[in-house]
Order: sequence, then structure tokens, then C-alpha cells
Amino acid sequence: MLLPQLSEELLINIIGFLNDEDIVPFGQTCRQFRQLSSNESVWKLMVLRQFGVSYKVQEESWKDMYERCKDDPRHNRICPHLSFITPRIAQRHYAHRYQAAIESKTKLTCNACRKHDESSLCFYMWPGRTRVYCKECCYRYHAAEKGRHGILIRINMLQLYCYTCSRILGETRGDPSEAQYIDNLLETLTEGSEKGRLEMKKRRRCLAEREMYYNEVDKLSVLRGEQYYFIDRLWMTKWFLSLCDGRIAAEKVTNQHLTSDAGRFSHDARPNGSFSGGFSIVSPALWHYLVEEYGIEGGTFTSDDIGDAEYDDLRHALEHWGIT
Amino acid sequence: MVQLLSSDNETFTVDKQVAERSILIKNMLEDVGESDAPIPLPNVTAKILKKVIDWCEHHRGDPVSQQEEINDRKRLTEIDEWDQKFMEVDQETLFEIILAANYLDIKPLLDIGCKTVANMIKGKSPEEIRRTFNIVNDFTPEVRQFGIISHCYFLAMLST
Repeated sequence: MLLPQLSEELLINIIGFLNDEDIVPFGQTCRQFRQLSSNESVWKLMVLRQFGVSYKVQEESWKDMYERCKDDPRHNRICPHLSFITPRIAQRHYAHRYQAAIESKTKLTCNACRKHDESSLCFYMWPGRTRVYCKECCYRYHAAEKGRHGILIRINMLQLYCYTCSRILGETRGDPSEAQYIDNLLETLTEGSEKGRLEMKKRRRCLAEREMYYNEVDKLSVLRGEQYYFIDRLWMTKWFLSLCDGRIAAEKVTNQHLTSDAGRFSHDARPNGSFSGGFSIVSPALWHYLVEEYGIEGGTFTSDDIGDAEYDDLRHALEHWGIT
Repeated sequence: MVQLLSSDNETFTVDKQVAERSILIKNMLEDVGESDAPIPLPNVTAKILKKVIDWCEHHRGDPVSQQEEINDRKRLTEIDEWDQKFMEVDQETLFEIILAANYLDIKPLLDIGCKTVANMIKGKSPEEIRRTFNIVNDFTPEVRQFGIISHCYFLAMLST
């Protein structure tokens, strides 16, 4: 019996123990092995075995995922501990328990300390088990056994946290693979309940708006754009912080602080600094989105309104703002 | 105790706990219930079955993990000393152990066998791998050249 005579299934299992450097010479030995060295199942095994990761970006190959994992040796963007929650396990073991928790008729309390604090209630998952505890009790439970790499969901805001990685998963610091995987996972957990679906919608909106904040607020590209809009910085900050907390702010955009008594753009307004009269600049697209979604109080001001001499200082301040 | 019958008609008597390291045998025992009849294993010779039973005896106390391999990464890259010694056999035997472990559904043994083969590939040039495993180079000359170029390209990518 020779190596090439083993079944493809067994060969995949063997080659799946190689790494990306060793697989290259292996693929150069003969035609059969060249094909095998680019087999997706082989790369999937390599990703799982070397990095402990069981997911990838849907549109990409496992080979692409291998590269992503290699670029993230300390798991700062791709959490491996999440991998035990495969879609099947989420469906079978966690979905109904999660739904029972959010649909509960009685007020939820921590099952360990019996505290009623809805905002800190969490759903702790580790292989095969779940707990509904408050944050503190979750941590105590997690730390009680070494090697228990559980994952936490904050129930009321659908936020995932990994104690081992010490970070919130699937949000702005995560890799696209992680974000996509968590989005699918949360959908599985929530889709069976009305309340869950609403929460999920809110979560997606929060993440989308955070993305807009990163790309279209106080950016040099916005400042250099054809036109931009001024917006109250205090409102902007409040908006962003509530998004990070999984909430949609209820207040209208408060541009009255930027409006002078005569109804024009106040020439005392300045970029930077979180004080009344401080402003941010946003792209037209984001401005229209915010007005549509949140409404506005006070005037609408754009880069076209600061041409007069009385805005000289303001224009000077904009030029020396130092945004990137 | 359970009796196992190899393809060449040799009978082995082993502890039930040891035999049940094999998921195939475990399921068979559950299906037939208590019975004194030997379990026929038509795909495994006595020589290999002996080896497999040795391995199962040594690992009888190992926890049988229900979990997928995911949370056990350390075990995925290393082979413990006893197993390394156990796998010091000729290639023919090694492949037969792999086939038997696959047939008998003993995942840890299968993985150790596969890892052992993978370790024989690691760090070798294509020519060395061919020699180790008696592989015939069936590439046309152009492909060979392309292969070398792509290998160089790959190494260049790695070093940047």
C-alpha cells in the first residue's frame, strides 16, 4: 500500500495537519497531490487545527481565511473561542433557551444572586451549557474553572463578549469573518421570537450607523468634499455613545446651538471640543440620513454658508483642525 | 469481555471498555445486546488488530470527549511519547493502522496516524517527499518549471 492509494477522505485528514509552507512542496510531487493541496476541505481543517477557528467569510475560500488568521496571531480580531458554537449547535442547544430568556413573562433575574438588573443580565454559553446570570456572576462562573472559554451575550443588547479574548466580538474591532459569523449566529438565536427579531434589527442598525460615524464624520475626505454639513458636536457624541451601547438615541439633531439669533450659522462655532457651539462636519449623505431618521431642531448649515468675512476665524480653525 | 475476530480468523478477547474505544464496535454491541459470539472484523488482519488493541488498552482511561476537536488545539499539533513510539512502524503497517482506525471509528488513533504521516512530509523538498513515499512524478516538464517558479514566488511572499 502506498500513500497515493489511500482514499481522498484519509488523504485530506493527513494533509490537513500540514501548514501553508509544507503544503507547497507536497503539491509539487505529483498531479494528484497538486489537486489535493488546493482542496477546500484541506484548508478548512488547517484553519481549524492551527487557529481553532471554524468560520470564514462566506464569499471567500478557506485559503483566504487561513491568511486572515495568520495575520491575527494574537486573536485580536478573530476569536477562536467562539468556534464551539457552530450554527448547528446554536440551533439545537442555544436558540430555544435564548428565546425563553427574552420572552420570559416574569421579570428576569440573575439565577445566581437573584438581582434584578435587566441591563446587566447575560446569557453565558459554554460547550453544552447555558446560564442566565448578571455580569458579575457570569464572570465568577467563568473564572471558576480553568479552560472554560465561554461566550457571553448581553441579553438586552445582543452584544457578544469573549472573556478569554477580553473584547466585544463582531463589532468594529473584529475581522469581517467574525462580524459575519456573529451576525448569522445572532440571527439563529433570535429569529424564532418577535422580540428577538426587533432586537436584531436594532443591533444591525446600530452597527451600520457606527460604520457611518467612522467614515463620514470629521474626516479629511469630508472636509475636502464638494460640500459638507455642520452638526452639533454634543449631539453627535451622544448619538455615537448610545450606538455603542446598543441603543438608538431618541432626540432630534440639536443644531440650535449652532444657530445665531438672526437664524444664521453662528460665527463663534468651532470645530473640536465638546462644548456648546462645538461642531462636527458630516457628509451630505449622512446629514440627509440623520435628518430623515432623527429629525432636526435649529438650522441647516453647509460649507456654502461660511464664505463671508465674519467666518474668517472659523475657516482658519477648520484649516488647522488636523483631522485625517 | 468481548471477542473480536480478525479477517484471518484469529480471535482476540478484550475488555468491553477497551473494545468500546471503537465506535463501530460500541454501536454493534448496543445493537446486538449481550452475546458471546465473536464480532467479525473482515477489514482488519490479526497483525493490525493486535496493534490497535494495544493502543486501546493503553488509552483505556482517556476521557471519551463528546466534543468536536475544536477546543483541543494542543493535542492537534503534538503526539505524546508513547504514541510516537507506537507509531514507529514501517509505512505499510502505518497505513494499515490508519485504515483500521478509520474503519473501526477510533478518531484519536486515526488522528495520531495521520499526524505521523504529516510529520513525515513536513520540512521536505518535493523530491524528498517522492522518495519517502515512492511517488511517481507525473508532471510534464513545463509544469515542473512552473511549479518551481510558483514555489519561489511563494517563498518570496513569505519573506516580505
